[in-house]
Amino acid sequence: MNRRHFLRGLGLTSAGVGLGALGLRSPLARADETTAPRRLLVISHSHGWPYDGWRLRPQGLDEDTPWELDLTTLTPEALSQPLAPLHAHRSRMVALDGLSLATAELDAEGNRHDTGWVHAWTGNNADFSGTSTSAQSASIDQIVAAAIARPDRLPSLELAIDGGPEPARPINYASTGVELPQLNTPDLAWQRMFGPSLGDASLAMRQRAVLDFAHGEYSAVQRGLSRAARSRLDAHFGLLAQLGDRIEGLASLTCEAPDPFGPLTVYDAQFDAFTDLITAAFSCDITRVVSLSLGEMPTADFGADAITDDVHKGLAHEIYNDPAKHAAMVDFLTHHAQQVARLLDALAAQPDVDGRSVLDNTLVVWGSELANGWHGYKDYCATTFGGDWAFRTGRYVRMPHETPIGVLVPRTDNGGGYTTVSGRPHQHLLVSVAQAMGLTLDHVGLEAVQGQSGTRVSLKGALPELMI
Amino acid sequence: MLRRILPALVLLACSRGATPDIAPIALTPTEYNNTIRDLLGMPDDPGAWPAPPAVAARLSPAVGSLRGFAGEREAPPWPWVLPDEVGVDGFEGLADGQSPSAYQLEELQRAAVHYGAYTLVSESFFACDDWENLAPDRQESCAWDSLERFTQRAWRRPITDAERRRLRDFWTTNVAAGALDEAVALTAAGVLQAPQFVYRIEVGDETKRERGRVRLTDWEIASRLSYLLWDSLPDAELFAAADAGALRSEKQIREQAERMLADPRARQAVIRFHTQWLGADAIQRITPAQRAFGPDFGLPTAPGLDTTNDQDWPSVLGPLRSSMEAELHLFVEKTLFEGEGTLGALLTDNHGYLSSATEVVYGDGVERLSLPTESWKGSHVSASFGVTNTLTMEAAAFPPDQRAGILTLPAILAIGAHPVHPSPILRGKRILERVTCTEIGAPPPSAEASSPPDAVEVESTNRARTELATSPQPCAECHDLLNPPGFAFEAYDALGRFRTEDNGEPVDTTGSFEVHGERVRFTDAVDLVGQLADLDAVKDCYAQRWTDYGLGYRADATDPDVARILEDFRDDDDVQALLVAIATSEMFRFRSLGGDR
Repeated sequence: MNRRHFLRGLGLTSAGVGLGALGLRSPLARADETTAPRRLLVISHSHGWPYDGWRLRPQGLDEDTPWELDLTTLTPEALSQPLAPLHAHRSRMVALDGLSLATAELDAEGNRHDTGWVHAWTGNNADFSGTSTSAQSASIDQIVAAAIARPDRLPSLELAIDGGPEPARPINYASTGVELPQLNTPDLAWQRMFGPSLGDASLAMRQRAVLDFAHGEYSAVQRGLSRAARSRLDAHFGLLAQLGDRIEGLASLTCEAPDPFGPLTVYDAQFDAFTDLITAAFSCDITRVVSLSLGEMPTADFGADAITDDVHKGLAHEIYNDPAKHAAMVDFLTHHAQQVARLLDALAAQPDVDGRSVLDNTLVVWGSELANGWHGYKDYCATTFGGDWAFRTGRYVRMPHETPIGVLVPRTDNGGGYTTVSGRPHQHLLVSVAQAMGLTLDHVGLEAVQGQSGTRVSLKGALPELMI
Repeated sequence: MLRRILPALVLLACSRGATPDIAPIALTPTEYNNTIRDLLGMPDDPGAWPAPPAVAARLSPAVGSLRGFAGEREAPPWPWVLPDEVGVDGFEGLADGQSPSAYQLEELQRAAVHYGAYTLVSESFFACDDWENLAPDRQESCAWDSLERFTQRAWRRPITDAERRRLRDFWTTNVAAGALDEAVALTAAGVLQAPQFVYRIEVGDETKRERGRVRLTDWEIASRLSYLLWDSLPDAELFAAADAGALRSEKQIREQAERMLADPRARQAVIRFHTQWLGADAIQRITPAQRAFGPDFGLPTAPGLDTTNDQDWPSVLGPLRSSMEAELHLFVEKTLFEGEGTLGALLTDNHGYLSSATEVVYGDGVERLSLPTESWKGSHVSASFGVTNTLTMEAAAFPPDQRAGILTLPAILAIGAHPVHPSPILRGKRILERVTCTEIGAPPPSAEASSPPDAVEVESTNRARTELATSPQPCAECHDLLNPPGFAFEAYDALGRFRTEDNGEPVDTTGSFEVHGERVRFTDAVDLVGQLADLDAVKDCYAQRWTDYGLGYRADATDPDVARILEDFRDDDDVQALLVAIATSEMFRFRSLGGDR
């Protein structure tokens, strides 16, 4: 990590703006110093997984019956090329072989990337009216953030890495279905996290003073109102006071922070800067939910520049036509796995307030907007790390395809066209994540769909294969 | 109906002739955005808004970019997307359907900072010319004058001396803390987050107490009128009438209401009521399946295996949805403002509007009318690109034995359908709950699992499958009531196309059901809607919904004021007259004093 600033809590006086005089609540005390909060990190890369290069098929294990492997007993050589870089974290890992994005196939329309990224992270249908793709309900990070956010800190951070020909994908949606903006440079993220305390603190405190003014008007207005009228305004302006707490909480942060990064053009350098920021965000309790959307890497980063400079059309679309391009997409995924491994290393090296590591108290979910670069929704190879308080970790889990939803497959796969069955809908993974983070909901996004044959498929419930 | 009214009777018995002591009503998302637009004097087209002032980027915390398959883009400056209200009977703007949430507050705060900055580029904000180039002391005094005027319009009444003092203190603090443009933007942001802006707070004229009620002030009446008839804040003329004390008598309010109904803004507000009435916003989310309807639009039943043509179906659906929505809006507007103006016409008039996108839906049986065409802008997303499609809507007359009125427009039929087949259950529920005010209640958790499959290959008619799935007890208990009005519409498929056969068999559109004790027997949808249009219960339901919407709560139908509104509407069936009657009613002009006041 870069040189660190120790933030001393610029707080009230340095901003020159009086606080609290109008009855706003003071910032909440820090969480119990010996009880670490649980956190969620969502990672989403582009173009899915070249399944044949990702999966594990030790001898004797077939396609049609459920089975699992104990990853803790495997050597790096026993893992597939894209899983091998994660060997050091295998005891925290669950590799899920047998999920699908099948509900995206049932959505009525859409560019399959557009449809896929909404389904992948909201579990719901996309909304293609208006001028940009939106969702019909919140993405999993926002659902969890709404439940676990610390009121005086950022509910969540939406990060994105751009470095190649196509930008990162949108993966965050508010409860209104509106796409949330992403911070796509480390310095933008730095500004959001540390700006109120290290940057222009006075501006943050002036924002707080705006809320003070509104709150003061409420105090004046409510005196002449009936009980019924007061009660509605009490609820509204109680929440407004919490907003003030958040602004003040961020401005009076006490934390070690990395230096601002300046412009970074190399993809890996951006990734590592975000690694520093995510580590700081969690260890300083600036937020408890982070998502990281990985835009395409330049092909030179993973050694495919001799083939093409276009990951999307030059490689991803061609995985079933050209073995060399399939191999290049395996290299692409392997390079992402190396980055994720570095991020996990950093979180594991950061001590948490309970004496364990930050990673020990974090659930990491890694997915994509497609199952594969050909735009398929079959074989969605999501992977989780951590969350051992809720998940049985250290396993590779194979689930046979038996869900009665047809998904498109290319001509090289069973003759092409629609299959009759597909993998377990990924909504069960989203439910598992929500439940692991302490929510009691039984579905995320859609509750049920009908396959093309008319058979109803329930999307409720967690994955029993995953949960303790 | 009785079940609905009884609790209201108990609670509101002491508030006859006055709005009861309810929570103040927050501006709805629609009202908030319209108010911001009119307050800043900005156009309806967000693309025509000026660029934000430089200070906007400084005041908004790092917000990042919206990303997509097509690259980065900026969010439009307006409207702000605020969370939907829970609503009551499908309507926003009723006190019981509003509940503040942390997310809503965050969005209101972000919006206030955003639009606070926009005051600096608003042509109507500054009370002086060429503000940027004035001497610093003149700049400051003009900015204060402008903010004071802005606040009075934003809060929709003159501010009190105490409010002026607090505003002045806030302004002075902001001026001392930084640059003047920041001070203007932040002070305006404070005004936009104050309860006087976010809520319609009604205290009434305490000097006019009578029989446990108090007359609303002229300013409060002005806001009630403008939010009922325009979904926005009062205009200069209405403010002037309030200032002159000219919103007191029935006659004065009637004149203002009639003037406002003649303004184009009233048309949008009346359309908005009807989309809520029938839940028609859902038209932008209909998902007819390519596997069922692709060939009707010249496409195969599935995208090609190389997935390169997976944009074809979206390029059909986007314009199709927009065209259906445009037709619904035009139908409401033309029927109520340029046609008969009655509920009867709304339910039975057999004209509509079609475009090239809905030609497939209507087929050859329509007669194009030689009326001016309407240009309609729709938008949809294709491969992350926002696509704007301008549709040319042509007026058309439909065969009178095939369609009649709003309930047979494709927009309403298509939202009562699954991707492949129409849903008599959804269609019946809409008729019962929205048109006849019959409460059905929520289905049991297992209901959805029992619904008939929505597959392309089926072995019977849609009606037969629905009857089979819903005939066992306990389903039948509700579905005996729910299904029949939905079966009346079996002559329309999931896209709203007229059909005489379903799966090779003649469609059966006959049936009967009870509307508040009166049995309605029908042969088809045209027959049914004709009968509904004549039923007092349907007229009462419609008038009651408007009354609730205008007052912000479920009004007591036995209140003499409400009863009179309903009775008059039974007689004349005139929708604009209904709105004037609500605006001139005592409930609209008075509110009861809370027990603790």
